[in-house]
Amino acid sequence: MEPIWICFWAVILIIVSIVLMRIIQPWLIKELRAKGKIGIDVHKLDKPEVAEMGGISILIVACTVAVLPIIFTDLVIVRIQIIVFMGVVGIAGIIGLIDDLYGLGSKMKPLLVAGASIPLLIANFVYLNQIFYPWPDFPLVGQGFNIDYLYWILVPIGIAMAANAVNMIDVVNGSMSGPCVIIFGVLLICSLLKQPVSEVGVLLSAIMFGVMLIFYKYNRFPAKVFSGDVGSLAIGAALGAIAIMGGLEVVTIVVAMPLIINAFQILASVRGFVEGKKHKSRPSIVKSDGTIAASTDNKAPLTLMRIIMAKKPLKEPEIARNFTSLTIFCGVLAIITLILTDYIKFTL
Amino acid sequence: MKIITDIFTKLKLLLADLRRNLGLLLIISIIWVLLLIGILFLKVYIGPMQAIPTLINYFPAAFIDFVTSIVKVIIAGIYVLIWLYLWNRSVRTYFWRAIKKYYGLPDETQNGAPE
Repeated sequence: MEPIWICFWAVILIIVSIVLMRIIQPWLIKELRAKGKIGIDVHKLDKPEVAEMGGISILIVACTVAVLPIIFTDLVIVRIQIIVFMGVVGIAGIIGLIDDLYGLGSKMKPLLVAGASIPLLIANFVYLNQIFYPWPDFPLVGQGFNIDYLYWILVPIGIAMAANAVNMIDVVNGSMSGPCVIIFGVLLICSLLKQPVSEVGVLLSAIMFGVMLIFYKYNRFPAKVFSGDVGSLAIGAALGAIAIMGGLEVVTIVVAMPLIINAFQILASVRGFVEGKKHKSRPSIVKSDGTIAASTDNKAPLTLMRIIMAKKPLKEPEIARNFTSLTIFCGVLAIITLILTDYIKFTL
Repeated sequence: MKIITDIFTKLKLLLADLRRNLGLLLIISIIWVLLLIGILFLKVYIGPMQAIPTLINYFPAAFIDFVTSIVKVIIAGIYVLIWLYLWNRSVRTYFWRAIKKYYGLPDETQNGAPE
């Protein structure tokens, strides 16, 4: 497809995603509330009840809108890639749904989410490295490393890491949805700037950008809905799948650095996967004036929220805004990384 | 007109946030630069490396390639571990320095919760 047509379809996909989300999300909030699927917003003094598992809409809309490019694209491989995307996101979302309803162990969850990469691996095996390319481009050196066997092992790890990193950043209203809007926006720009244009990257990033934009509207302070693990794991798996199939691995690592810092620092400080509710000490404290302060307990997990609040206590929307600001900064670094990957290459 | 004012207000807030998190942004930038340096280092020095050049006549080529690949992966792994260690250390130092400045706690070993 010509780049101009890819841009045209990207705009159409964003619009369709926005319209569908705008219809489904309010209806879903009502349904979830009626069915008693509500959670307590612990970072507010009055502890309001908020609809939980609202991420079901993300799963439904992302997989529904993804059918459109299957119809209009003329490349068979892109069609297969989109079906694989639906499979990866669907499996991760269902695992999240089971976790929301019945609870999975903190060690079991990443293992199961890694299993969401099975469609990706099988399709790439069948279509002989056309679904993803196991010789990724690196900044400054291009395809400098022959890591094909290692790449196959890194695919499930990457999907599990992306899904859990998104899940772990979902701590206050808008702290996950805001940065994710920026991340998918940057991936959309990078897919367009990539040489040659990553068609699958553009189409899938456009869908997720539209979906996240409307989800952010309902999830930002004061939140009307929480995504639940069904939403956060599906978004993370989508992020991983776009990075792998779109050939945007290094760019995604750079733009998602706030998420990676958060996940890495938590894992390093509590030494492994521990369920949030089982932490001996909470990373933050809600003060009597409504602001949130960082805990100074050295046993508390070192989350990004705690790091940001170290200088002074902040209000909930300020924390989410800080997350988004950091992601915008990383987005700029990611675009520079893409330029260093595709436009400036050293002959070594 | 209101939209333009809104955009300027949002931009001001964004800049204020970035200024507030300058230390963290510096850490992110250093981590990013180290990532690029690491890729160049691996490409220039480790990529063309031959693990056992002096024993080349005694072992079959496939075995030498296998050992070379393992050595390269180990070196890359060590670089990644050093990178992660520097990242972890710098973030922890930044956090506890900020805590010390705001809450007046002497170091990382002291517990407590602000109120």
